[in-house]
Amino acid sequence: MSAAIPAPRTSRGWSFPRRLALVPIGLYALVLVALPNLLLIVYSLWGMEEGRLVRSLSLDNYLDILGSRVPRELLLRTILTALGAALLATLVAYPMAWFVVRRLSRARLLVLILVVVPLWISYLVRVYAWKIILGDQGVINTALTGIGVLDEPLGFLLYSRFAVFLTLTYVSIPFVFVAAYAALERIPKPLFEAAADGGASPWRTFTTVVWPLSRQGAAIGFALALLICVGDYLTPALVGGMDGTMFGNLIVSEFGLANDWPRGAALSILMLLSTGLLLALVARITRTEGVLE
Amino acid sequence: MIASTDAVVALDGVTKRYPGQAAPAVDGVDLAIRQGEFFSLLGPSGSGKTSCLRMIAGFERPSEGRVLLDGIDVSGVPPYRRDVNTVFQGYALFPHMTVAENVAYPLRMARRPRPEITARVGEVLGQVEMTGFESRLPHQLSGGQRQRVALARALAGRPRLLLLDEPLGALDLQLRQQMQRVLKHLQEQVGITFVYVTHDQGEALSMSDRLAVMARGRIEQLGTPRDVYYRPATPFVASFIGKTNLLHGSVAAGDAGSSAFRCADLVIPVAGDDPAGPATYSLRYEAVQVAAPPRSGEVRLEADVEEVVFLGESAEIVTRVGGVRIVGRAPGTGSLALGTGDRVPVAFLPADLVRLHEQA
Amino acid sequence: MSSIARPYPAGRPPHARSLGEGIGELLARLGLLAVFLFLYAPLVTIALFALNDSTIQALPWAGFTTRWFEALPADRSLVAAVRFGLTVAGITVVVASIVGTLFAVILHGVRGRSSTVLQAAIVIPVVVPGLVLGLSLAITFRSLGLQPGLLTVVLGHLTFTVPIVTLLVLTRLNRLDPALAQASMDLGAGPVRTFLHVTCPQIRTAVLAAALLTLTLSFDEVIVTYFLVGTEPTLPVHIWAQTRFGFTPSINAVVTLIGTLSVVLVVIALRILERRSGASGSPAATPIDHREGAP
Repeated sequence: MSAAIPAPRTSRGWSFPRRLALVPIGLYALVLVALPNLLLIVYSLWGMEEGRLVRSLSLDNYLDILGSRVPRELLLRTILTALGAALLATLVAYPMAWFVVRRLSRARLLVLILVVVPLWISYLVRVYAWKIILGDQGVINTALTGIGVLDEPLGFLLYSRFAVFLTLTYVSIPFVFVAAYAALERIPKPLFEAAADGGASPWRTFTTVVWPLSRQGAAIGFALALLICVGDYLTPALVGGMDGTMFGNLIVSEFGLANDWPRGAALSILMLLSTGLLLALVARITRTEGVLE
Repeated sequence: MIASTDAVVALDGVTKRYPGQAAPAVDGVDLAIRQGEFFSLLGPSGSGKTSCLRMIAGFERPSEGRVLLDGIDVSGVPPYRRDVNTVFQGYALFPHMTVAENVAYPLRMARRPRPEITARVGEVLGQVEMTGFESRLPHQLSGGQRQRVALARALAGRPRLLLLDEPLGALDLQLRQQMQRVLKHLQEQVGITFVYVTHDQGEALSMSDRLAVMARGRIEQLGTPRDVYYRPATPFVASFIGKTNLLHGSVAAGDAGSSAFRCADLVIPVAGDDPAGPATYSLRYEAVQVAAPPRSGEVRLEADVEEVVFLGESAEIVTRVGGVRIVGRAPGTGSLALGTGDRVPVAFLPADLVRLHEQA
Repeated sequence: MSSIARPYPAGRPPHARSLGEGIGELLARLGLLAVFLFLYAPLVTIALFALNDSTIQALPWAGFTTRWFEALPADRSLVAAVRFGLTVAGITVVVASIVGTLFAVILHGVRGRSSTVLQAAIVIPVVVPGLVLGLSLAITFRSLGLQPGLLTVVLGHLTFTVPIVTLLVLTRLNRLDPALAQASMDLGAGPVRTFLHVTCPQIRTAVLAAALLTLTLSFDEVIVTYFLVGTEPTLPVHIWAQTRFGFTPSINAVVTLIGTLSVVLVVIALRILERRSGASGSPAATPIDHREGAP
């Protein structure tokens, strides 16, 4: 816990007991936030030998992971897939949010609710539904072969990287939409008029005013989507097949079958670091100065 | 009725209805504003003045009628293709742009060369006395400073017409008065036509060359500040601008070409050519002298003081003359001797009685 | 005089929308529709196959049945998983609501850097990928000697529900008019009674909405939970296990039931929030109106 900074003194002058009130939160953060993260780091530096935990610090796990081709490629592929899905979701959700904010008035809340409702349907189930839709005997393939468009079902639909990508895009859209919508709605309407008044066409109003003032919001949605996609091991397991395996599955298998938690912890930290770097980059690119009041 | 030849902007039978509202916000307004004029639209909220401004700017399309800029119908032309700029009520400065970037905005949109933009930005910022603030962001400025930047931004592109939508509304009294002078001065300096929307009569009277008083979507009266103040056309104008006694009664022709206005139990001589019939007259508070020495030709009545409202440099004396309540004004010092129940003479010149047009 | 000459194109009739504008608008609306089709196709699919009279989850449609729903109560492991999941969610909701609200009140009352730092710290589990959180918690609980089971699952769920409750309630607290609490103190109520009589009623709806959100989040969570369960699975973990080795349409039936229930809960939560914001008027929801005389 960081040293307490004196709160602005109030006329009641009871700032000392007030700061004491933070202690329970500090304890909570210590046990349920700081400790797990610390232990994760420590574990990643330990090792396993013949099913027993070896409590000596070394970078062996990291060297081993980064030195072998499969985890390296898997990490890269996972990040690219997640990046692609989050990006596509943004390309769909952001313009949609812009349209809703700019063009709809009464239907706005309805659209917002309709976009959010799927978030409250079990994540697992939404992913699993795509299995039914995309399978060889799934909705799409039986429909297409049934009406004679196809002779054979499209094999790439399910158990493929395509299926993972599609499903991750699907789960990402609501998050990006909500974040973009919130950001776009906060822009005061007179600013659009001021831009038009200054001679900006709708397109230039968008590039000079709307995008700079909403890209941070869009980035938050993008970041959320990216975090979900990177860490998702359900989707690859359900719709990805062998081809669609992702980094998360590797971590889970170290936790489960392989029972090598230190290696799993090291994999986790690599995942955290790479997504963290990526998100820092996104935050930097989308930074906008100024304060909306 | 439109003198479109010399009008920078003209409204021709403009009506604006908003969906879901029974009464039109603007109801058949005709208006022509001349080159170089400082023109005000004055009215209470809901009178349609801002709607008029927004149709001139291009943010709204008229439901009926035409908006003409330099004689050309621009009713369907979007705002970004009109040579008109607006100073917005809440300033609407772009929060992510510096002062200089804000001011440069219309020039950038017009794709002016960079050196010209830099020079022009410096020039307008100088005109509004904001040199040195170029790299500040709007949230780092005070209200008055934002106001100046908004003004500079609207002026930067040298528009044919500058629209100001209650631009001083958010400022405190002292700053407002200072900005009034700045605005008037600037308008004379740059020679651009200003259309100024306000609900503040003092502002409209002190700055305008001409003004239109609006109520319920219509223009009640259009004229110079003096016209509107001294010769109000309707009871609304009379009571909205300044403080006035509205006297209701009827005019009857007397002998020898004279007429008399009968109001309750008062009979006041009026100009002989005032048509007979029911009438409302306006009598400004300051035209009514209370307990003052007699002047020739005045109407002098005995009144009972009902209330003395001390205002500092002056006082309003509420009196009752028979069945009529007349409020007069006395110097603040003079009011000290007066009290409720005193019997005092009240006097005014017949010329200060202004006959108003009755409205439906 | 005018250095920027902007040509006025020939005037159009005042109300006519241009053809291009109309087409753009139409395309945008079609796009919106397409996105909704995409968002809802999986949900509809699940519901349909819960009513399909076939063990094979594929077209063609084999006929309508409710037998998958009828078979549910007889599925012992499923019922046990629902019961365990509800136990977890129930405890999580109660504890998270109390602790989260308490934290919000504390963070609202104590300003300063330590408060900001703590606020950021407790939010970390929400922004860490679920499987990293799950693994780190599994490691922690094993190191502390806790047996995987109810306790570990609940603690795990608390890590991401407490901060959500805290943030929601804190947002509400920050929007409250401080003058109300001051008025209460001015009228002779101490801090405790002011909190009970003035602050509590104003944050009640936020707490309730947060509790409902916590319920759905906890009951549905699988990514973190998978790392924390012992021999007893929660419902999603049970489904997860089932889906990996072939499955029956009864899963569709459970999920349809729970999905419907979740939506109902969410609608209730939204209603509560809406009624709240309707009463005080949230600034974000009020569009700035320039039209004079607009209601």
